[in-house]
Amino acid sequence: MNRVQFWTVTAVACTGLLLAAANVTLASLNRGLQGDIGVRQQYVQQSVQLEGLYREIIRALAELGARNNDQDVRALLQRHGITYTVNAPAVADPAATGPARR
Amino acid sequence: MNIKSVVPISPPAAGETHTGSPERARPRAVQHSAFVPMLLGGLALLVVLGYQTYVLVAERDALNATHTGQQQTVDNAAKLRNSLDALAADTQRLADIGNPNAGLLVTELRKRGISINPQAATGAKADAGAAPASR
Repeated sequence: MNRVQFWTVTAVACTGLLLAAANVTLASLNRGLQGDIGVRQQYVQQSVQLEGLYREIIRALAELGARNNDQDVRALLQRHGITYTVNAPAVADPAATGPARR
Repeated sequence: MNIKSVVPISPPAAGETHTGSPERARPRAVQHSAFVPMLLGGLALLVVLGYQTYVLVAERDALNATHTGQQQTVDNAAKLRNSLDALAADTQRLADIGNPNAGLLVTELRKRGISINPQAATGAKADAGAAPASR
């Protein structure tokens, strides 16, 4: 093996070594990123479940506050940007609710 | 009559050649260099490693895109959790000072296995970055 051949093979081997090191690093980084994405996905899925609870609490507070005319509960909901209006009970119209006559 | 002596000439034996000098008959030892096989092996390794690097880089790009795409959803989820924590903590405080409606709600939640810790909720409000960190 002459001098040129020796350095050619050495250059190829060094490039291979660098590529192998890059592959190991990339694989490790990708695994970390994949784990991070999994954690975030889990966080979002748990939050979706909590959203149902949040809506339920708001509905319950609003219903209780409206039913009992609780100003504290109304103020609490307002502090969180939630307002509600109480619909006046519909006045029963005897003519409308009565049996239809033919 | 002139009679010459005739010497019989034996034919050459099988495998024997008439090559002239005995040095030519000796098989030549050809020396091969290790350069070509080593170069071929090295190049094959480079191709495999290069392809692997390409695949890993593409995978990393896809993962980065997924991570970036998740950011908005994660932020919304963190916002929702903070709102829930704050609302639950305020409800608990209202129940603690004797509001019957808030007390009823807290009791119902406790029956379902959900207990509210106002201190933790206020801590969560300050710790808005409780969501998985973004890179």
